[in-house]
Amino acid sequence: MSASLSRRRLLAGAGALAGSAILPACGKSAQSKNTITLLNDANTDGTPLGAAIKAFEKQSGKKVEVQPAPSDYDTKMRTVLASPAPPDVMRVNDDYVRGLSDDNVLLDLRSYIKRDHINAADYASKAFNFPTQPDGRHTAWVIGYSPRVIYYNVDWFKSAGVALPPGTWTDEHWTWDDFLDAAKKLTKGTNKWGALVYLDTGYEQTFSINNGSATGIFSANGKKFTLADPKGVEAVEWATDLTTKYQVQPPWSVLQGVNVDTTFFSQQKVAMLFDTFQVTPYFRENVKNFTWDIAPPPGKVNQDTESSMIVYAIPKKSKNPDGAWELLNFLAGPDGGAVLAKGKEFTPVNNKAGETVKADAKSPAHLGLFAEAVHHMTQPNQTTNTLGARDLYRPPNGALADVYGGKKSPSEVLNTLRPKINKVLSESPNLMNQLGN
Amino acid sequence: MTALQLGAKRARRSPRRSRWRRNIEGWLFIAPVILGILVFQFAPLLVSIYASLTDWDGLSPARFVGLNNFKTLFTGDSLFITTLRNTAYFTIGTVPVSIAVGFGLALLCNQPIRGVAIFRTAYFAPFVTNIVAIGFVWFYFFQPTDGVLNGILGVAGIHGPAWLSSSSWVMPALISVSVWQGVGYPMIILLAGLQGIPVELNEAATVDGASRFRRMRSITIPLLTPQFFFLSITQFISSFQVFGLIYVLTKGGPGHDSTVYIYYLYQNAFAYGKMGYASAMAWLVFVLIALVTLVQWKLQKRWVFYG
Repeated sequence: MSASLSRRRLLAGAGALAGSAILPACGKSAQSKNTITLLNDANTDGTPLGAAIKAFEKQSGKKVEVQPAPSDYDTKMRTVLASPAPPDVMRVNDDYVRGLSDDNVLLDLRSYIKRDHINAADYASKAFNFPTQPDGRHTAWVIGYSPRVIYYNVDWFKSAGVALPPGTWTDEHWTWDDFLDAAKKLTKGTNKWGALVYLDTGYEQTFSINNGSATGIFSANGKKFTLADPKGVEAVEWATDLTTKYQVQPPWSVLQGVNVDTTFFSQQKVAMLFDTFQVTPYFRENVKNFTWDIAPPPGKVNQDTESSMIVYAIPKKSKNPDGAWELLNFLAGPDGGAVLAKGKEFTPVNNKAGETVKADAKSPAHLGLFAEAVHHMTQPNQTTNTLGARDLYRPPNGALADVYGGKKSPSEVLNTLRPKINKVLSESPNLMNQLGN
Repeated sequence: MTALQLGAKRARRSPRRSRWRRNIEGWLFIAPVILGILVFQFAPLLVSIYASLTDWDGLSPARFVGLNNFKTLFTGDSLFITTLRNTAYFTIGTVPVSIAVGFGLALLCNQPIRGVAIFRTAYFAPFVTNIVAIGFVWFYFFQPTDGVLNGILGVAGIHGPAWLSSSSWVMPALISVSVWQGVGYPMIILLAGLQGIPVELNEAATVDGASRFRRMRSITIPLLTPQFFFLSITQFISSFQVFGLIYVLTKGGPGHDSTVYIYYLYQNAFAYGKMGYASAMAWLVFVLIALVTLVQWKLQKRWVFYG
């Protein structure tokens, strides 16, 4: 039978096509309870997290659909949170947990914690309690933490005749002065520097706390900018002086790039690098031509280190919160933690799993320092507007760029900023706060 | 009524009915597009008008604040002025240069030489290249220590600056990239204009003894004024709304030296969660662009020649 294309048929076809394109958008997605959607800031294929997710799928019979958003993750996260169908579970920048909790968009996990008899003693306490809000809500779940340490080039130290840093968490022969002394001896000419500290923003909290600041960047209630207090100013000044006064650290202008920290260290442009646990896999994979190791940050009054929290949360509008919780509980538990520990990218929050972070045949020889970091942990106090505050003081937009560039002194900049940042911290970001400089 | 009269009536009604049917068919054909415009453009426009009058953060329920957002823009946000100034700097630096360079390239590409199509393609290619890819290439080009540009300057004994982290150099660097990337568009428009100029005019002028410069001044440029006018409007609008380049290369830094208006709008909306405030900014930039375009439109009578 020949079917000639009449105008009526064409119209009917076009109508059907348009309808079929529109109708699914109107329909509700019927997501199976056996599927958990996970929004993550990176692709999980071939990563420790990917392996742990596979282990969970095998154990539970559930399917985890990972939605990676490697670029501009925080923007994507806010956008999906505003949508009526956010993912069941999502990575959250540890700096935003308080703000998002105040926005009331994250699920309170206390009922799950109670139901499953979660024992806080089984976890690294500071990390476990990190998402606990002032009103008692537990709005997120930490699966691990990434302590900051000093990565150092062992061969460079030996060739310069400089004593190696300690392999235990001690500041004996490893004070700020010792660090500076080593950096001076390690620096060669004008393009091989002894140290790189101020590129990793974790130095602000780590070095101010180690200098004797009681709270680091923000006050305990998250309402005051305490980095502008004398101890904080001294810490920033010390880190900046490495460049401006002693020339043992790369100038700020040459550090503007992608992955400069790992590039400079692996290309032997810097001998000592202050960085997180998360760069370890990169060095293990890519550094072939020299021996490297890790040491604790140098001590002064204290010898702590800021650990970045690996935090996940369940949006209130999640379609499958039970499945999401099951996944998170697995990842933070001993089985999931054991898989994560093998990746040597961050320390699992579970104490048992954390203890399995041990050195092997590959560098670094003192990998166990990451496990020991649990006893030397600090994080900036949470605020309702950490991002707003940071935008004012941290580069690229913040005023500290002038300090790192040697144009202004830390005390001048930080003290000028203090009232502005205090104002930003005193207001919730969803009110009419202004970031005017 | 006779049969003839009835027939005449039917004959009169018939074309109207078929026209109506044709109209219906036409509307049905464009319905998906119209629907798309209504749902994805017109509705968000209306929502953003409302949002600009609220303190909506994208997560909590919106609270009506009237004209507070606009008031804050003009009275309580010093960055607003900074970003407007940076945007003006970028626009003034980009628009005339890209039109002038585009004109020069169009003149070159209008020569009857072998392989001219290769040059046209080469000049136009950056315009259709993804801005992120362009950004990354130029990022390494501008690297202060091992970048190509400072390497070349170093050979000449010049110590190049840290282009993207220097307050004084960041904008010229961004303008250069923008001109390089966007120059293909004015070139193509002006090339089309050049090829539309009747050959007889130039021939007659040559016979009359007019020099090449005189022909350019009295024939070519006047006959290209409609294209120049079109480009001045479109280039202004696109430069005033620059975003991708800033996002990829500088994130608005150092300090706020390269924070342009649209990048600041984006930060307010998605980084600080101030959707209402960002919506107000969006409507303000719309009004600004509309006003400048209106002025350009009014001024065209003085200099655009529609031969």
